[in-house]
Amino acid sequence: MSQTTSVQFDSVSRVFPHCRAVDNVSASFEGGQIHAILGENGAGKSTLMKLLFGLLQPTEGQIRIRGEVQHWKSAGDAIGAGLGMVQQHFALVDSLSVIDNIMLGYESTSALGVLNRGEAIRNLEKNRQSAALQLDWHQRVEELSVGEKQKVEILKLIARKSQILVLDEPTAVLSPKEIDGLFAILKSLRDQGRTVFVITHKLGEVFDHCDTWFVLRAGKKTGQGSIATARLDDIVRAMVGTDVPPLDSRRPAVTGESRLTFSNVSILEAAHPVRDLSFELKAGEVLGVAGVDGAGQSEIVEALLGLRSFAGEIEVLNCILKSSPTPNESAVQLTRLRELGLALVGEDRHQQSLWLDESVEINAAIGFEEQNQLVKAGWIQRGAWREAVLRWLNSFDVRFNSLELPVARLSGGNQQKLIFARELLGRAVRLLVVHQPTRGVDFAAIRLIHERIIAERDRGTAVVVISSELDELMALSDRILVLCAGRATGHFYREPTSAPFDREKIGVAMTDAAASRSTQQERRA
Amino acid sequence: MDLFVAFIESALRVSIPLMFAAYGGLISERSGLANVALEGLLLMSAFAGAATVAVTQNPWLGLAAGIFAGAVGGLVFGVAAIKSRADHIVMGIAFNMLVAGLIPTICRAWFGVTGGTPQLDRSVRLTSDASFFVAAILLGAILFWALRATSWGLRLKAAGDEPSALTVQGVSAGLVRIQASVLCGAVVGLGGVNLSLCQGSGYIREMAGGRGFIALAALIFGAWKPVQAGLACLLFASADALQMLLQGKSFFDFAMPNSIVQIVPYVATLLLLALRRSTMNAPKAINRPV
Repeated sequence: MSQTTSVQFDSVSRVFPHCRAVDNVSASFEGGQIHAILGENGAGKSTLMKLLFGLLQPTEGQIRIRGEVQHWKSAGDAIGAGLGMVQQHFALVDSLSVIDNIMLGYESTSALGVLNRGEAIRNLEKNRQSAALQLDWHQRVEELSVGEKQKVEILKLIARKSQILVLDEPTAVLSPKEIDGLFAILKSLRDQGRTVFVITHKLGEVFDHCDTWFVLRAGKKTGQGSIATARLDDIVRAMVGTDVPPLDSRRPAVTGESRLTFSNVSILEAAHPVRDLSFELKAGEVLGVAGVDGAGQSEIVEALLGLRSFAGEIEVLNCILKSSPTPNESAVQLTRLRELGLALVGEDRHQQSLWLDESVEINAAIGFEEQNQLVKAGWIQRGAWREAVLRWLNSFDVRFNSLELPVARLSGGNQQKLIFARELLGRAVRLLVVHQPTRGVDFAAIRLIHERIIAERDRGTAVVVISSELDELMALSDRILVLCAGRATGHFYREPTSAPFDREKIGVAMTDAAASRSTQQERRA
Repeated sequence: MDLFVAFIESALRVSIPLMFAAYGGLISERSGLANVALEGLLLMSAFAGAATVAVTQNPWLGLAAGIFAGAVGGLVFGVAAIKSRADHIVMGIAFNMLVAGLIPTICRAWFGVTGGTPQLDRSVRLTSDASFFVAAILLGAILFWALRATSWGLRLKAAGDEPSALTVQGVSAGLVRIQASVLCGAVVGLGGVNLSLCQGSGYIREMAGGRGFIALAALIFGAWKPVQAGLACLLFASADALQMLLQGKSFFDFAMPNSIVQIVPYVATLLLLALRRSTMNAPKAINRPV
């Protein structure tokens, strides 16, 4: 392992019109190691990495790579200098093949610009790391799983011979097994002397796989050290500024009447079909739904909202849903469910839950203005609206400069808290459906959201939490239902011990092996 | 039988400008630049070709001028649409209006009339329909191959589907689109020249007659693919040829008014597009700024 300094930041600042995203950061990172870059949302991690990659220029200070001051102006210069970055949202062309995506921008061509795909493939197969990744070079990227798409991104870096790799939240969308696979690849790249930066929220994987940690808070460096000598408390304190109390010890669930029932439900006309799913959710309990992204979670949520056709029977708040609703029937049905006390926090807050260009004030109450009597005979009651919204937002600790600000300007954590406030407050909620409660949300907000979900359960609300974060589900759920490829592959009950769920078994149920086993059993039966 | 041969002949002839316009549109749209400016590009190059011949009496200079004018038009449209980050459709409409106003103005200045260029003698025109047709077919084949096999095609498709994939490699997707727009203009230019120097004898006002839009419809109907778009052009051209054949004919002693017969190709275009759910294959980032 080489111990030379690979990347050095000298008093680097980056000022945007409204904030100092990176504030006087000095740090050096050694080559041949995996460095974890930690921090809450909006702490400046991504900005710092964009500065390193030349996508942004520092306002003050300079960045040195292997001792040389960098002054490149675009991603192309950075790639030429041996840097490579995997963005959080993959920059892949779905309609093109794996090899075309790898070649794009750095094509090797013969006369007339004819692509030399054969040569590119030979070069990749010569390299031990890229050969080990095992992809079909000619498959179209849209047919790949998320984990495989990430491999394509890493192959792009290997093909360009990048020596310094930056990965922005690479594990957000991966299953536990895929995460281990990813770090195995990163470690083998590290052992060849490459330097790897991983931006992440998940402290678990930092301890398991990284060599050093580095924390930013509000643009300032608040800690750096080696993992070998690190203590979890130190890192958390650097991230949030104060010690975070553990989640209050929960009392056992006191269950009541049935609030949501799936009986042999199949949703076949869907991107991720669901087959023969049955479960019941009672008042006063939290049901966690685990699974890799695309195991049918979105379809289940849409079906229980009455937005999809299905076979079987779904009963929500004592209403039997129409199994193949017309758009008009769907709307009527959903309005009825909302009145009965259904609250929903959707998977993608920008698409499903917010009117991004509209103000905080409007977003914090919209959809419930009639129920909450903020509109009377068609007239908006401005005073009552503002008063109610302020009360709700304060109660969920949503931080904003002005009610007039477009909601798009809030941080991810504050947007998510605003949605929870809107859905839960001001009316009687009997069923709460939460899809990805804390995706892209900072540490302190996660804590608050988790507390409020448990508080809802304790006052008798039935709660469904769907998340690809297993740790989150294990913290929140009274029961965990595991999905794999649209089938229920496991059902786990909380044990009153320090380790209430068996992580290993849930992980196994989430993987394809479990699904194929249950398919086989079905065939035999 | 004679009637049938006449029908095929006229269908093939009509398809020539459609194919050039559709292939030009294909290059532009596959790069993500939505192109309703095809009509304006056709008119511009048709006029530039005819005007050059009227002045120089040299058909080859006319051909070059038509292609050049198309390329310049493509450059103007491309730069305006990409650099302003505006809606490509609105930009395309603006471009068409600009061309529609500009040509009569120039016409008046040069030739004293707004209606078009003087009639060109057969000896200074490009009279070989067949050559144009072969060129169009060849162009389709080259496009088919180049989209698959060349780095140009790869970058074009990436700019149209996922421009960010280019940006992170340090390649400007905007530049790829502008280059595509210039090439589009040059290709459409061949169609324009075919209209004014081969099928017609000079430029007359609005001589494209909506062919730019029909070509766009053929491109969409052909799922943005060269072979299918070419076939769609032949299909729409057949509708037009049918219309020409039916003009002045009477059915069961009923003299069909020509104006009714003339709407056949437009109705066919509408019907075919309505029958096919064709936006599914659209480039994903079409009409999105980069």
